[in-house]
Amino acid sequence: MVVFRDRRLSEIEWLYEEHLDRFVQVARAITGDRERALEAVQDAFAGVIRARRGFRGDAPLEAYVWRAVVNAARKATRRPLVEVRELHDGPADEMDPPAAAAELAPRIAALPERQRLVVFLRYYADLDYGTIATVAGIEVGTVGPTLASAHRALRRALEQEVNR
Amino acid sequence: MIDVEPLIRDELELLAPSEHVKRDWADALRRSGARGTRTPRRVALAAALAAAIAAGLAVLPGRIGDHRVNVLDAALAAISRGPVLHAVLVVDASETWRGPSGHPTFATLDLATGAQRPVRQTTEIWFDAQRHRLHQLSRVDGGVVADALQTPTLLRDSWRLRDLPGSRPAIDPALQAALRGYRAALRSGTARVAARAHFRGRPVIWIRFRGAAGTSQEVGVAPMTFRPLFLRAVCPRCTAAPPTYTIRRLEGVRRADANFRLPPRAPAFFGRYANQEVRAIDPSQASRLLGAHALWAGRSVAGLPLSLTQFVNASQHSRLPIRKGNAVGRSYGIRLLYNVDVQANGGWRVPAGRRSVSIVETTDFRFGIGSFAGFRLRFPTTLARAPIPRWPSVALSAFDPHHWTLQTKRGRLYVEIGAPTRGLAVAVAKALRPVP
Repeated sequence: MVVFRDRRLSEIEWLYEEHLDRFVQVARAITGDRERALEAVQDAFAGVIRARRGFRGDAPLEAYVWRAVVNAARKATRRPLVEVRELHDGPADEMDPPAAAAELAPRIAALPERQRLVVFLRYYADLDYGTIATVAGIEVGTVGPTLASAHRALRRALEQEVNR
Repeated sequence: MIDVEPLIRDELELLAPSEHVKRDWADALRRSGARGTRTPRRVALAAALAAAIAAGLAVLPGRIGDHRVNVLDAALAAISRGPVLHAVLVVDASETWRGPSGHPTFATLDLATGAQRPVRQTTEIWFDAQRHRLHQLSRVDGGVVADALQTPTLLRDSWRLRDLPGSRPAIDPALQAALRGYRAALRSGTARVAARAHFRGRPVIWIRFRGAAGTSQEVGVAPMTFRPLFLRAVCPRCTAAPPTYTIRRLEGVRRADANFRLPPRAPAFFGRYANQEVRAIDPSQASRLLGAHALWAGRSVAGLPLSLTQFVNASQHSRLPIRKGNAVGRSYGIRLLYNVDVQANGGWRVPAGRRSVSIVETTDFRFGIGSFAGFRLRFPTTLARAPIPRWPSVALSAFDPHHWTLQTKRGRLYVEIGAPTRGLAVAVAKALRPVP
């Protein structure tokens, strides 16, 4: 049997081992850069480890760590939130611009920051509404309408493209 | 209305792809200023945990499918460089059949909840154009129904008893283009944009390729990324539209990662010659003769009276003439017929326009009692070639809107119900109970 001398530290380590990929993914979406995302997540965990004894337990530890990661990623952001890259080389002149613009990436990038963060936490991290509210610093009841607003905006953009 | 959720998930993967990030917990500790608190045992535990996670990722195709195939890998498929084309295509099984009234209806229904889902066929293809090898593996609801390898020297098809001479395989040009990229195909003139449309909830560009026999195929790609999403044949004169496959995976892989293993041979059923002897019995004899608790829907069901109960004695024989001495296998079945006319010779008929119901039961699917062995596979199949669902799930099939077949396995019994309507077939299934 393994005996942990510092239970909180072991819980943080478990979150690190289990969910690092998702933490990095969200941080990458926020910073737009993989290396910055990795740095931000390592810094966030360092901060959580330092402050672990002050954690009161009034919210899940996971939400606390997520908030630290999001804050570290925001801090690391020095350029636009999302960088949209063309995945294929070669000219795109076979396509007319309206069809190309129908993709969602630029639309997601153009969402208001709170909507974008909620979308990231919902779809990358699969967090429940309560945890999303804690991480984003909003009321639980606001999460659903925020997501719905994001969906509405994206759907509207797509329908406009399809009907063009 | 467009369902944007799947689109959001796909696009988010392009913005920040999921990946397995190397763990460096020691670095996090160092940055925090905390002293190392790991004991050697904990290091071992963490390493074991990481290994388990990695192993889980490696062997869980569903998880990989969710996070990599649909998004990142598929998005990069057009620029994959491996010499072997690998494709995973999914289609509603009913689209792959043609009945007299168009596509048949295939579904699996849970009688306990009323939930119904379509039957899915998945086809996986590995194609090596340089070495002329093609492997196609098809599954219906998870059961392998076809497994074929074609090389210049051999054609092994899992449902054939013997191998056939080989030949150089060919594959849809629309799929082959995945290796070079759809933009390249458009630039070279081997393909053209056929349409921009909205298909199954998302904007799609249909790129058309001309096949060798004058047929055409289309690949539906995402407008900006050219990620392949759908594949279909073009047939303006067809009375039933050709199937449209959803592309789950389309990529070039290394030869070492391709599957060109020789498929297993077709199962040899017991004998070449089958025989069935049928006689009328009283329902009370059914369980004893069957060797299991027989089921029925009562003396009448939905107002249709039980007209005839038959005992089926089925056997397989190694040679002709059929004799007891050359039987290589034997099984029994029960057939209950509702609202039919019984003839003097023990036979039966259904007058035109009359509603009737049949219930067939057996404990061994291989003897031609019911339709469970119609495809000569290693497992009992529905008319859609799917594995027989277990009660209370039932398979519903209708090639003709006026004849429905319901199949299920309940306890030891394979049960098949024939009825003129879906509602009647389901009502009979719900009325099934042991024969007293």
